[in-house]
Amino acid sequence: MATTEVRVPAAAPRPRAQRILDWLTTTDHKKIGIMYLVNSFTFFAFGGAMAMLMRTQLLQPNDHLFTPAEYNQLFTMHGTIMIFMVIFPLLAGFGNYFVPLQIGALDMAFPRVNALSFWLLPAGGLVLLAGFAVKGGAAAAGWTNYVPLALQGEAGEDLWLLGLLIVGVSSLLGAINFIVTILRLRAPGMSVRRMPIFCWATLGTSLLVVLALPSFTANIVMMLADRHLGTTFFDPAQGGSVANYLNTFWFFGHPEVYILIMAAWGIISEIVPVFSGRPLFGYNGVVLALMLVIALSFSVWGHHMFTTGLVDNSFFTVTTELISVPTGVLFFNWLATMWGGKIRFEPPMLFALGFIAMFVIGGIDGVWMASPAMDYAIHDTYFVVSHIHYVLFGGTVFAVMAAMYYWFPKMTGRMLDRKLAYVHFWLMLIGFNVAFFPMHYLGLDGMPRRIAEYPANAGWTMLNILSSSGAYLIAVSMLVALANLVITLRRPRTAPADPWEGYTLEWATSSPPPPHNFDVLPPVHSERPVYDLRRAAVTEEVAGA
Amino acid sequence: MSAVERVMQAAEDQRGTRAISSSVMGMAIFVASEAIFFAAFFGVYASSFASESVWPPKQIPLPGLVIPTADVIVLVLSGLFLTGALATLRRGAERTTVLWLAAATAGALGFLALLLAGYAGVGFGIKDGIYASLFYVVTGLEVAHAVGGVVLFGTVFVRAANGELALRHDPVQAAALYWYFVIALGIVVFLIFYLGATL
Amino acid sequence: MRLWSRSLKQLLLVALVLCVALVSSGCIQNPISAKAQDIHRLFYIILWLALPVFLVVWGSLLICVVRFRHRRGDTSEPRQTAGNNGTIALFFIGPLIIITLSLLFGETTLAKVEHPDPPGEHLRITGFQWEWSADYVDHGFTVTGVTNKKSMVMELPVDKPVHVTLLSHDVIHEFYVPQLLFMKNAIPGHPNTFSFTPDKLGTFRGRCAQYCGLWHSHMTFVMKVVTPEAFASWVKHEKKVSSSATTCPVTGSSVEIEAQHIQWNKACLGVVANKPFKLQIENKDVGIAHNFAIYDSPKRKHQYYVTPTITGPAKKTFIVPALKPGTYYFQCNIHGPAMSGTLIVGQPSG
Repeated sequence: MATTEVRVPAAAPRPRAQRILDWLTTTDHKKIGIMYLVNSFTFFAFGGAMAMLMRTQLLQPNDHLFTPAEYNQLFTMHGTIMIFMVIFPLLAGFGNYFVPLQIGALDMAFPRVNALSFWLLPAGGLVLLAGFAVKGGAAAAGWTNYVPLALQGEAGEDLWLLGLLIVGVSSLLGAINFIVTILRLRAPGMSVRRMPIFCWATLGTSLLVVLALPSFTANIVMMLADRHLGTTFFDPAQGGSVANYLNTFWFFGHPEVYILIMAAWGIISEIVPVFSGRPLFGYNGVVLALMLVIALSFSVWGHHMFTTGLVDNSFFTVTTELISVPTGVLFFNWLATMWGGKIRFEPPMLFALGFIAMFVIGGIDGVWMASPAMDYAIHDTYFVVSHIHYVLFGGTVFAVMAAMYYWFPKMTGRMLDRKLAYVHFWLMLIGFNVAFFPMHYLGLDGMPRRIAEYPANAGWTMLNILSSSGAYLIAVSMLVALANLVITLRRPRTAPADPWEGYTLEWATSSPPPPHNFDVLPPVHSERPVYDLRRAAVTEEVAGA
Repeated sequence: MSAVERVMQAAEDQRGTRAISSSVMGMAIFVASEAIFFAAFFGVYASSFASESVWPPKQIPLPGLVIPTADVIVLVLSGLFLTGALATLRRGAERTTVLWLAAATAGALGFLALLLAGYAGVGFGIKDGIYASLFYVVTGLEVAHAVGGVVLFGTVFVRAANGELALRHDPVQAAALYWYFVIALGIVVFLIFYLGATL
Repeated sequence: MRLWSRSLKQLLLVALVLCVALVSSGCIQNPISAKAQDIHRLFYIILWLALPVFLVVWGSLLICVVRFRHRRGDTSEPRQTAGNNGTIALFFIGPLIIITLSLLFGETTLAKVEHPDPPGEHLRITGFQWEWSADYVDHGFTVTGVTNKKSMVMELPVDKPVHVTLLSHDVIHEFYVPQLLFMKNAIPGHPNTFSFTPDKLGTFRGRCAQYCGLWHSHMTFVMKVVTPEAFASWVKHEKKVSSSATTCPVTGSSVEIEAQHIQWNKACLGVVANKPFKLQIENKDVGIAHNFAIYDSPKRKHQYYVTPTITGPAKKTFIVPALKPGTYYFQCNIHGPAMSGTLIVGQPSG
């Protein structure tokens, strides 16, 4: 197989303007993937800064660092930005870069649509943020944006709705693109049963987006119509109902949780086998579990409404408890993969272990909340805040960091510094637990979520101080990661094509890959084509000797 | 073409002509998401219908049936023309396909025109309660989808007339898929907002 | 290997002790009703169900980290076998058992919590931005508070069942008393009911738990559980307060009233009888809706007049049809008794 034809000679460095224009107009999935990541990490800094301000407000009782009006905007925008502008786009960014590589494709199925779905994202994000600049401030009805409260909002609320409409279009186009890419552009030999789990997870996420997001879009349309056209979808006095809002919102809102975590499961299912030196314990089991989660996720939304008296609590308990079964299966698969392996504690694996340890706590918290009677005691308290952060931070953010250390060499040709990575990991792990574990107690002790201040005699002060100091530690850990990034990017490109002894096709091409992805596409005979390749090389060597 | 691209092309060829194209598949997924989008409104319709003793509530006058009925007939006709276009396309009779496409585009335009004309016979405003809310928002979205369909047909038709059909069929097929969805939507809207409310 | 497994055991033991200590020291509230007691027990049942899951995952994780670590110089390859279907099926069955148990205990408790208590006191509790009011239906008086100034104080007799109807006329609120281990939403257009029997004397702080806008964090109330005797005298006192007639002179056929900080600026209005009168309402609460409704008495058996809602800031004038002489009650229907007063209809004084 000729491999020389497309090797471009090292060109003279082009002018800066030209390079910037290249990025702005690119349809290359790798560049778009990197832009997704840069955009999401930028918004991560915004959302994180808001979290720091909130934790500073709660550092002491009756603190008036912010007025309630300001604090309410902060937690609304923190949640909104983290969910819609950070976590999902981060996973989509890794998906953009690595799904085509992992299935041995040249690009996404619709490269121009791909560029469009990226550019809609910062546009939507800026519309969201613009809320802070208008009269009345940004939206302040919480990320769940419940009516009738949200109907009282001012211009910031409209910007919120508009921004999320734009972000929604971006996600939908991206999801369609992923599904078509994965179903149609796989390399010869790569049957679906040999597809990397990360691709399965991205496929699953995309299916969830396609089937759940439109309900939210409809919800936004109804909200805009109620606010501006005089319709009465959510007005009980005029034949509408609050239930119309809650049902259309949570029909999207719960699958959304899986949209935010499934690709993270995929990342962990890639990293754990590679650094354990073993194949994934139960490939079919994991795929089955993912599919079960997708199917069940559309039947659990009512568990967000246990205390509303609007849904059949028993039905939604059964479905909610059932969905924990496939999630459990994933854990056992990761553990069984490590069992009997030879684990290398490289930074990606460390974060993956952190993911398993933290995400299981978030999962167990869920067992309490899935039981309606118990939920009556802890719903809308800090227990929920703790749970969601154990899932989305202890879960997804740890997985995203794992992915960052895992794939950074592939994307940039440079290895991130190990020592700084270890510092980052331990600071983040400790900071995270110090910040969020006390919130369980605060919730059990009756501290409701989303309060701008609390009285001094409530007895919540110590735990809040603890929580805030943990939050600051997280911020420090992120600065360490940022420093690592900056330092590494100044170093020369030394990363080999396959620094981790990986299994999947992205490790079969150079680091970073050429614009056309592969010079040589290895044959695919199993779900670990690059492992097969390495084995074949060893066998040949032995035979030769 | 690089070696890799050649391999990919070979794989593509192997999958053969039976495999559906990217654009048709993309459109199919898009249509599925559209279905969920409208299902949210129909869900609100269903729960409001179930909780009201009189439907439509507030004793509002029902919209007239004449224009909407004509509208649905035109819509179904446009679908038949489209089916003709797809059939001739499969046989390779590209010239006839262009004619069928022209007829379908005309049908889509007719549908859109009648849809807009139908508003003249509506005796209630958007602020008149939940039925009126649903009526105006859902039919408004239907209008938007009809406009989308006309634009899509327009571009496909122009490209077909310029001889694109000899090269590829998938844009026509994808547009057709979208329009079949609009037809299904039109029928459902007619059934529940016009006929159903009258019963 | 032996050394490893010994230190591993110690490590596991420490972890076990630590997490049991951590979790069971959880400040879950001391329950003050039988239903709360059930939920309290459910918390620990789920804890004992969750603990094995936690220990299996963290335990295996620790074992893997210690025993199955890559050692320097070891170049051999670990087993490359994937799991068989039987083991994977077990992965499904294990969690299934745990959740079945959790479901059984959960549903039993839920049935107990949802079961109505025997008849007792009836309360209509209304949440509004950002205060509560409690209507003692059986006694004909209402207690309420003033946003940011004083919390509503509601007293309940110990050991007597309480039946609550929960209402809201503006946004979604949530009635939450931590010691009841219970919260329920107050939803516009959807009254919710629940009942409980407080069995411990004491003063308990309640809150709105559902985020409801600007002063959500100040939407608190006090629930006092007192002896039946103390309750009876409290009821007597409250009834006297609410019936102590407010009066004011009748000045003419035109009145003005202002709403600010969820309060009327006047507690009493006087107008001439048998003649339509002009009512001017100024709402100074930005973004908040009020209206003005006239009833026979605080029991609101008959409504004589109601204006549409006015969202502030706004000033509107209405013509109210003629009323017969007498003492009437007015309120903002969204904020209820917290925004109410007396309307005297009679002959001009002087």
